Amino acid sequence: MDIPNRTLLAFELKRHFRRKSYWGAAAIVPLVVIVLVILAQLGAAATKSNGSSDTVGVMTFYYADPGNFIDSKLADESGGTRVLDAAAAIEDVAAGSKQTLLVYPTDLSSGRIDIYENNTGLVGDQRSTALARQLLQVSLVRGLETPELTKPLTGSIEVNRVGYRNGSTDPGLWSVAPPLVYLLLFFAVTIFLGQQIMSSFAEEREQKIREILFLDASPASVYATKILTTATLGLVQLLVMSLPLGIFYLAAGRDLGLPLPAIDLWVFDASKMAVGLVILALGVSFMVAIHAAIGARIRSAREGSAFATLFVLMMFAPGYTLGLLSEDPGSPIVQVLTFFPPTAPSTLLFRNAFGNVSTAELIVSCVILLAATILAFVIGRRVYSGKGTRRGVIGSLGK
Amino acid sequence: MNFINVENLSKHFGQFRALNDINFSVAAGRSMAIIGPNGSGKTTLVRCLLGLLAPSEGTADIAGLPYDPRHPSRVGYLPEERGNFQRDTPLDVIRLFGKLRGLSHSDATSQAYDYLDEVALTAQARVPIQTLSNGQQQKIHLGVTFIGNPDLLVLDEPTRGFDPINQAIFKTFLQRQLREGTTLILVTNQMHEVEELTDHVLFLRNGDQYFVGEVEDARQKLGGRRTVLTYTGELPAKAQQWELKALEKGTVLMDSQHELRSANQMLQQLLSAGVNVTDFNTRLSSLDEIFVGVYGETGQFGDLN
Repeated sequence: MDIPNRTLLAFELKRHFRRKSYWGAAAIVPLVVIVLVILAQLGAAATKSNGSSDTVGVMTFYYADPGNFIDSKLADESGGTRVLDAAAAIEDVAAGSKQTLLVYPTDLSSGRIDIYENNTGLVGDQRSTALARQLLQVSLVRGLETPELTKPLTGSIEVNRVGYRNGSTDPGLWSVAPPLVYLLLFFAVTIFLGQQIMSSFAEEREQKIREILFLDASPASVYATKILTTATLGLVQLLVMSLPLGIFYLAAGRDLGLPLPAIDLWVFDASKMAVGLVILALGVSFMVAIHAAIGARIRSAREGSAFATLFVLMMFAPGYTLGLLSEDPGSPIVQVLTFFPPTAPSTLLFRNAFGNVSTAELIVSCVILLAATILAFVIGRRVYSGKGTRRGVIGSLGK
Repeated sequence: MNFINVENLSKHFGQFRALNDINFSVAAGRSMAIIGPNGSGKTTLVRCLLGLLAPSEGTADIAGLPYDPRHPSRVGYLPEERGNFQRDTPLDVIRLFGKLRGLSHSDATSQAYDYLDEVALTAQARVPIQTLSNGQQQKIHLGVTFIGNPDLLVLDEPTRGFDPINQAIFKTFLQRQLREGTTLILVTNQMHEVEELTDHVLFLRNGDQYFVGEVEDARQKLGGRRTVLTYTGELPAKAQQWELKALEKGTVLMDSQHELRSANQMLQQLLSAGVNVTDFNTRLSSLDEIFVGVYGETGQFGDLN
């Protein structure tokens, strides 16, 4: 293995760490993500139907209730006005003299709520849909003679699941979550680092400094140094971005209704976590080697973006076969995804989280991945050194 | 032992032979120019010498060893296609290459500052190179080349794109290095640079070695004597026997490898014919004239007699 050039390593790290744009990019991403998540969750909460509440949102509307299901006091408090002639009211909405009209069915078992709105855009006003449902639900709940039926009827009764596997309890999703964090990390590193690695190599070629650099530091040493530098820079940036995101997720996840925020319910399986770490390390190494090899060949960063996109698509491909990954790991598609190097890391991380990858499959796939990583590194180094330039990379391998 | 030794060096890329059986040596502290038209193999030869390309056959050694970054000799190389770390500062870049060549951090910093001071770039030491003008960036190229007092300088078309100020700076630094015993390989088609800076010359022709030797030998063997005669009036008909070439009105050139005796005979006969000769001088061909003579005005090659 080539030893990175310490002088060059220090130079590369220092020049990047000194740039304001480097730290700016790291700081702005979590800020933007947090703001977007808050906005999205607030927006969802505004239209979300909450069955356990005994209040309804407020807006101006009309309603027709031939079946007399709606609590008039509740409707009034919510800004509603009852109409007796639904047909006339519909004409008023069409003419624009009424904004929103809810028409309730006479038979709840087979009917539906019709909403008539004027000038509310392509998908309509989502608030009126939520309001229509809530108004009916809360009115019915208020009309119940047995209050203890409220929770099950509104869907807010808690459900606890206990699964068993091989005679022991199976924690289900809570055991899948921890090793899936590795998958998230893998995707984040791939997307974040891949383009940076290629750009770093292309920058030298674009700036025409490679030739003088090779006189004072061997191409192989420079190659190894650049890989180490870019990986270090990328991981530092990722850490700076991830920490606030992680803290935000743990602190506000529950309140914002983010998925699986209850980390105290996560079940950590030591063997899965250890295996997942190995797969992550191999996957990241393979990703770095491939992107470095592409970077060594391309003439500009733009030229590499097509390769980067293709590679990212392959990394994400297993996600589209989630059903097969969890329920039918022996299927031909999953087997191909398991052993094909570009798709293997994410496939293995999924299957490790689901607990359905055998030791034999794991070992064989990891060996293939390791071999592919070494091959990518060797080819990339040769291409970078320019030794195979005219005869092509394959022809130069035997030299 | 010669400092540079190239023996039977050939380089081919597939079917294409870029260099064919090149042989030359350069003693320590001496200088050699590599001359040839575009595509003759000059840059390929330099890259083989510096280990950037592996020769297909033969050897190229510096101080007895093939060159690689661990070589005991320090080399300053100015390639034909050159660039800079655009977003970094002149100080950082020059210092980097000083340290890569074995200088300590403090020595590299000190030498970098000395150089920047000498080329009036101290104020720009810590600004991004991309904000500098072309002329200023050229000075940075030179700084990177000269830092660390290299034992060997390999300069490929060094003054290409240089303005006169930078050309003068370049010559000042180069001559200082040469006085300190640095060996020089200069790839150029600027013959005045060859005559000013080098004592040996290698002519390449389509990858083949056309001539190698001292500059004076090249002028003798490739160029020969040239006699320039300035006169008034008309030349007699028998003047055609000397194949005189008219340079301008009233001035003719007697070219090729004639002997001095022929020039004297011509002078006597012209004087006898009543031609009023106002100036007569004979000299060896200049390298510019040799270049045109060897490679032809149309780029076709002449034969070496």
